[in-house]
Parts: sequence; structure tokens; C-alpha cells
Amino acid sequence: MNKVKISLKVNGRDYVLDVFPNKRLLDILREELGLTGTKEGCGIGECGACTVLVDGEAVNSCLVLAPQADGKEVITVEGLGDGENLHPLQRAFIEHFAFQCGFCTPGMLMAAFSLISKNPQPTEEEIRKGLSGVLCRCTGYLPIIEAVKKAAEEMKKC
Amino acid sequence: MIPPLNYLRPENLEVALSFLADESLRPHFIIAGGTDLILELRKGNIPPDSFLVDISFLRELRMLDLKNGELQIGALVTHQEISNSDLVRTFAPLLSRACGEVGTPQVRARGTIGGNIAHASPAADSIPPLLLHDAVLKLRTRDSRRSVPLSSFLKGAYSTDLKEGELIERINISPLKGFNFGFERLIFRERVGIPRLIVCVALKISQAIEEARISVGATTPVAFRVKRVEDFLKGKFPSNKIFQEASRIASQEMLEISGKRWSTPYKKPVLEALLRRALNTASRLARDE
Repeated sequence: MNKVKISLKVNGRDYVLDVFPNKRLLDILREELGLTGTKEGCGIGECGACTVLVDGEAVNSCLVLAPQADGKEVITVEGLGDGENLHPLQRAFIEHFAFQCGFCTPGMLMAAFSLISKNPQPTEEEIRKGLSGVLCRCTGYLPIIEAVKKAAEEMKKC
Repeated sequence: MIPPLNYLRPENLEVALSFLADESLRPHFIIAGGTDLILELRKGNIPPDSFLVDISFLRELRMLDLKNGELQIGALVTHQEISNSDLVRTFAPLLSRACGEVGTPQVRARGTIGGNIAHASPAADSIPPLLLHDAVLKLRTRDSRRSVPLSSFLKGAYSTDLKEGELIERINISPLKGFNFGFERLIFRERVGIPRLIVCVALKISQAIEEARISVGATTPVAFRVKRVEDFLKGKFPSNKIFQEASRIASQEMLEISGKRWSTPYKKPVLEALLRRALNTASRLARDE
């Protein structure tokens, strides 16, 4: 098995990596780049814990082979804040207790970020649909939906 | 977990077809969006050191256009692109609807229509609406081209007529003019899950039913057009009674294809109810339940 050279941008930084083709985008984010905010839950594209943005679209990073990310722009949960300040979505999640164990939270945040980027004022139904690809077994979802609503309002003011 | 692989990335369609024709690069598997293939890799259904031909970068397969009155959809167009397309919404509304229901937003952003067809899952969302339109697949090898109706391309559950070295280039669809549509989909969870029943209906009505097209998916190894019901409805005036009779004929046909199974006591009345609903929607009759 030969390695494949790929270049990609992750959270605004350029990387050139030699990757084995049986590694997934999820693996290289966590193991090569140390970005362990992205979680592996089911590994089969159902739970959404591994959600990241690839060229602006929320995708399951467990269902993207590393070489398929060549030339792409990736944003992970580490790329949401600016290093000093949390993103309004992250602040709203804290304020609304929108997590308990926290394992789905990076996926929820990235799905919500993708939604708000395309649709800055989503209705509750649109939020539910936008988050439908991430499963949470703690919160019952209501605080999460509330947090996304509040973050959208907050971001409108800016 | 994923076995070692030999990864090939053709820079254009010609090169992709030459890789697929090359007998020294076997066994090969085509990867597009990967939402099904990566699961097969994880399950161990693909032998180690297989050649993986990554077509996901081929721009030639991304077209979505209306040409000569036909809707042409490249194999790499994603479910999300299809469900967001005004062209598809106008000329194949049930395909638009069905692709908007696939899996989750994350899966719709990666999964492609060509992959959905080639994987040939009995529960594939895009297939019943495509059958309604008598969709035709444009297939290519390095040395040949052929057109195959989707209905004869699908051979069984996860089994197709795709030949060695062949690739789905695009799907051609004739718009259904003057038809009204009905769509029903049954799923145990609203999102994420796999549909248990998909019913698509197109009716052309001028007082009596001039033409009926009905397809049912996810309940037999291959989604099918219910020709017996289509023939039965032709020339009839829409009514709850006629639709009830039509639904009974459809569930009878389902039983003849799949035999009596553990799920039959559930699926038979449910198929009948969903088909009645879809027929009511398409004929603008008030719901009878």
C-alpha cells in the first residue's frame, strides 16, 4: 500500500501530508494533526459526532477517505472560535446547558455552524432538520435547539 | 479496520475508464461519495489490496442539465444538489423530494445518485422516482457506450448489470408532463434510518385517469413498477373505492414477488394505506382516513 500526498487547509492553516489511503479524514485530523475535538462515535455515518465542514458542507469525517480530502478546505470544532473568544454557538451551548457528556457536542456545533452559515435565521423546524444527522443520548435535544436559536439571534446583532 | 488499499485517482474520465479496463488493476472498486463503499470496506466485504478508483474528482460527471427535453444528471451529482435543484424540482418533483429525504444532511452532502444506483440497495431512495420516469442509464467502458433502462439494470438486492470495467456516466430522465404526483415514505425514525416502504405515484387525469405510473421501493429485493395497478387504473374515474381496489392489487403483487414473510401482516395493510394516500394526493381527492 503506497502513501498518497495530499494538501489541504484545516482551520485556515495549510498542510501537506503523506497519508495511507485506508485512513479516513477523521483519522488524520485526530492522529496527524492532533485535532481531537472531532469525535468518533459509530464510525458508520449515523451518529454525526465526527461532523466537520469540507468546502462549506457538513459531512461525516468517518465517511471520507483521507485522499479524498486533497485540495479541500476543512473546518473542525477547533476552528470555530478565534483562539481568544468562543464562537457565539459555543457560548450559547454553555449558557443553555446544551450538553451533558459532551461527546456529540463537536458534531452538534459543526452541524449548527453549517446550518447558520447557509441560513442565518433558521426556524425551529429548520434547526431540527439541520441537526438531524447528529444523535445526542443525554439532553433530549431541546436545550441544543434553544442554544442554536439564541446563537442565531446573537449573530444577527453583530 | 479498513484493509490496505491501492489508491488510484484518475485526472479525467478517459483515464478513469483506462484504469477500469486495465486487467492488472484488479479487483477494482469505484469510490464516489463513499457513504456506502466505506461501510463495505469496514465490513470486510472488499479484499485487502484491492484497487480503489476514486472518481470523486471528475468534473465530467457533475453535470445537471436539461438537454433536448431530457433531464441529464451526472453520476456524481449529490443527493443534496438534486434536492436543491430548481430543474429537478420542476421536471422530476418526486426525485427532488426523495433525494431530500436520504439519510442525514451529512450523507446527502457526500452521497451521489450514481452511487445510490450502483449500490442497488432495495431501500435506495432515488430508485422508485427514477423508475416512475423510465430513467435510462448512460454507461461507458473504455471502448464502448450503452444505454440501459434502470429497470433492467437492477438485477436484485445489491446486484446490477454493471459490467467489468464499466462506469455509470449519467442518468437521463424524461419529464412527466401533465401529471400530478403523490409520495409516501415509511421509516421507523424520521431521520437517519433506512426507509421500510417508498411509494411514488404519477397520475394524468382528464376526468378519467389517462395514465397512471406507480412504483414501490424498499419492500422487495428490487423496487418495481406496479404495472397491474397502472393498467387497472387506466380509464377509471378516481374514487376511494377504485383506489382501495388498486391498493389490494398492489399488495397482492408485493406478496407474489417477496412471498409471505414475518413482516407481511404489517407491510400488507401499510402498503395499501400508503398507496391509497399517494393516489389521493395525486388525484386531489380528499383523504379517506
